[in-house]
Amino acid sequence: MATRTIGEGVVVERQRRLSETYVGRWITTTDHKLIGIMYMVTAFFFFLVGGLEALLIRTQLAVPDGKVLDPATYDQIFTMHGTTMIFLFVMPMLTGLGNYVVPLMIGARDMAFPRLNAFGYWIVLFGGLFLTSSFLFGQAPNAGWFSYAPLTELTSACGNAVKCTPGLNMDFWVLGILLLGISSIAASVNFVVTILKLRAPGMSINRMPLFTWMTLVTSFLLLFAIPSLTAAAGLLLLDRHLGTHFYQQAFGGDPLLWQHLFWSFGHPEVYILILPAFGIISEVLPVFSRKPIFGYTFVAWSGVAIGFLSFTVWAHHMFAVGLPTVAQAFFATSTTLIAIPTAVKIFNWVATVYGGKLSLKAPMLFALGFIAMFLIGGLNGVALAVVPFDYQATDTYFVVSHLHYVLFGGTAFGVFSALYYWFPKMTGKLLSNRLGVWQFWLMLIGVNLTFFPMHILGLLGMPRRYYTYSGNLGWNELNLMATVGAFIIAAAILVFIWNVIVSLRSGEQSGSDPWDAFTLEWDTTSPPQPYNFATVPIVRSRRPFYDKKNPDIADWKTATH
Amino acid sequence: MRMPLFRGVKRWGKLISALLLSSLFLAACGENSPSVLNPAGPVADRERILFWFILIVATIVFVAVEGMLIYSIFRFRERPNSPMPRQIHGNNTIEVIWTVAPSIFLFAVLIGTIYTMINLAQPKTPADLEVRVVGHQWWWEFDYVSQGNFVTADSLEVPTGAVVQLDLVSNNVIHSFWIPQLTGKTDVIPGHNNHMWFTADRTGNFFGACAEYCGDQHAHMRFDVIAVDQNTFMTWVHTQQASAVTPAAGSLAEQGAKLFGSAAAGCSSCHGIVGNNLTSYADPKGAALIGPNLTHFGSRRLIAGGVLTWDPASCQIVNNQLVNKNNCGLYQWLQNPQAIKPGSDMVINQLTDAQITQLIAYLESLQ
Amino acid sequence: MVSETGDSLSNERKLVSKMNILKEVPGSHTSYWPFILAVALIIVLLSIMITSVIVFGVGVVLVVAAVIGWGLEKR
Repeated sequence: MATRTIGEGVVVERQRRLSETYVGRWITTTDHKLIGIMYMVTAFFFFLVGGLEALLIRTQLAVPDGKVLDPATYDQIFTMHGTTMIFLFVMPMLTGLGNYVVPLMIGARDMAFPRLNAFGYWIVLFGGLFLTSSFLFGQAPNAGWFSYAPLTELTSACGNAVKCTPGLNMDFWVLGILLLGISSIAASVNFVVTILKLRAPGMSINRMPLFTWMTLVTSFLLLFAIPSLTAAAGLLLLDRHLGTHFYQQAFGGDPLLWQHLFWSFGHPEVYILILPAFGIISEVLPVFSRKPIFGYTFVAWSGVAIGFLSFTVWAHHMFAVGLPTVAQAFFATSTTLIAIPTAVKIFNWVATVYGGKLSLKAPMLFALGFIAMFLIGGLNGVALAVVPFDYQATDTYFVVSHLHYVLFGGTAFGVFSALYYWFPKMTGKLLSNRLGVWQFWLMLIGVNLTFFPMHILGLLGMPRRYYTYSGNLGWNELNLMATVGAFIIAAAILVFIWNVIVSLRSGEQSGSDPWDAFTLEWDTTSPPQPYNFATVPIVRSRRPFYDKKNPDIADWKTATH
Repeated sequence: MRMPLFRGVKRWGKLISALLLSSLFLAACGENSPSVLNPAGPVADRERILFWFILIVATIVFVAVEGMLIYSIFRFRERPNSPMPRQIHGNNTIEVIWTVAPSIFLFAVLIGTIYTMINLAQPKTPADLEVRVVGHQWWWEFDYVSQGNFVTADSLEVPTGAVVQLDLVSNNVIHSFWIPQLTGKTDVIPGHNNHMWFTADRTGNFFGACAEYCGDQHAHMRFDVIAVDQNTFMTWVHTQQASAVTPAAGSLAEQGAKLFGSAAAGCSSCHGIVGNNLTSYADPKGAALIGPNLTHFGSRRLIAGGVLTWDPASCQIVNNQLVNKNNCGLYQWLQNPQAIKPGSDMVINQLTDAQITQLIAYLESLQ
Repeated sequence: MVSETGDSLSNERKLVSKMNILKEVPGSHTSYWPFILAVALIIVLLSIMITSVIVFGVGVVLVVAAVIGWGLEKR
């Protein structure tokens, strides 16, 4: 129907394709930038869902003998809180950030497999909606995000009492997890190939930005960890519906099989959740300290070391199950070992800040807050590696405190740092710094007020996953403190949402390089052209854009790499 | 203006951190809390010592690193005329130092860890008392293997100074057995024969709880550990080994005994009382009953995994009527167990107040 | 070539014309196969939930079709 003639004054016409309508553009896009934005928006939506679930939990636990939620509902809420935050907020958010930023950082035009990229996103969206829709049926997953067998088995496996998980609840969980695993594998394959094959000329592996390094390690971790989860979940599905007995003791199976398989995924998973945040911090700190990252090689390779070691520590989640002493000693050793590269990173970040010229804008505040909070999470993590102490602290609020310090004080602070840092690149507008400072302080205070008392609650004997508690055990004030803190965090998030709305509408124009940054993504317009770079950049050091702006003191002239 | 803001922040920051850190010391106080830092036995004591060691090391590291961070933030804040900083890329010597130094610290901790772990794995002397602990959904059963296999629930009475060995059993889901002031926890896993041991060094009533999510009423799977001196313990053992007291003829308790065994109330279809519906603790009928053994319920303190307490003083019966029934935990439980512990196995016909009073009189007599 | 319906173009078609006069922007082609494959996979999973062999069959067919369409698409 359409013909095209080259020349002036000629008009060509055809029907608008589906892919050119507003909705169609988004559905059919394979542009890593648009896909990245979709990932991030979806992840943020699920962050709010998970946050609401958290507020419900804290409201129920604010006072003893709470009556806000009945136990069956509470079980669904706390299970979905963990599942949503991990699989539907942190992982898609970090994937989205990586998607947007990594190709730009390495001077590529897009990811290696653009359609696979889009596929990974749509799976996350549908998987997340599928998982969350379980609430509509009143049968949300309810056996914890870690779903220990045999509680997750169907009724017949559960001894005399009819108290396993008879309904569809765990089926939603298993199928949702299997689906999301497909997405993670797709994204990981894409990242690995893109990072290994599409870097700009001159960008050797040891000149890559650290965010790219961490994304590469994370992708390898996913490729090796997700199969464990798939196996575990697949076997559970078979147990539930096809009459197998993998986790059923009465028929010769073993509940511990679930734990080993799950934690073989679960431990690398927590490094999957934190390593990209390490990468973000390693980008933000140098830019806002006006000097390069201290010890680039050590930061990069400690990330790799953490990646390898993360496969050797899984049973530190199982110190109370009765493993032989020798096995426990092994896992105690490997867990201690993995603390070393983590400590090295923290020291390198502090050394980056030391001696710099610090611009305390919002991205930097969150990055500094990350170091401060992650340090606490790391230290109480080392405490948990001390096996006899772990016998007391495991499965109590002490662990809840640890995991939230590293995941909220760590990853979430890293995510907000990234959002403030790269928002101008994505939209051409700056987020309000004033509101950012407000959000930072509210979040810092909120996180500490919520999670610090939990150390003490754990030491005072309060186990995890209790839907209520007696008023005569001395836990009341600390629980109330934690609830107040949770609402302060909620206020901080509202400030952020307001910031985004106001800045999109009337934020200050950012230009292409608002932070005077060092890496290639800033050498494009804000937002970048669909093709990213008009000419492929050539890289001579770890800070190619810094070199371009400061040719006299360029890194390749002064540094030894 | 930036300067005053930071000065204020410094002051408030110190205040807030002081508050938070001092709240840590509340842990040692926690008056009626089952605190890990207030041990009553050697196992918990050794675990506590490790904790203090870790806390000291962690505090030193925290103050050093956080201090360096905060110092850097204030010292190196950009000022209008500050020059571009030296573009330092790294320093190998320092990297080696701060890799080796923490490693030494951490390995010291690891050695302490493994040493304590090996020490705690087995008691120094053979067990004085062996109890088979069965985790149900949602209550704890105690079978005193070394004292003739009598069975009780919710309360674990032990003599002070004795090495108590526990064999942990479950035929349903995973639970975890935890007594914060006496010992760290060990999971109770179907198909696995986990053992643990502890000793109580002083008398007292110690809080115990299930610490592995096991379903809707995981929060109400408490138990008590009651440590008494050796003589009191032996007296208790002899009482427990005996059958239930037969209530006086014509008393309210006798009516309760009959009601217990009747089909109207249905108690005996789930609960066993030696001397009522069971001939002995070894009676095979007992193994099939899904509820706790009630032979000596009167001397226990907890009801249904600790969701309520049994307190005879608030369940006084005058003229065959409960004086203040709404204050009486056992009344509330028998009146509507599903309202108290939704999802539990106790699904019974509605009992009248009169029937409940008879049962309470009977249960109270089961000392 | 003039439009068949008359001499004045509708706004929508005007928009398209303008887009086509500009240089073709280099970048990854749009594609609807990822979206379709994702939907097909969800259908397969839903069929396991509701235990329906028919829906499962439909889902599998869609998955295969999507994979083939994806593979044959011009990159």
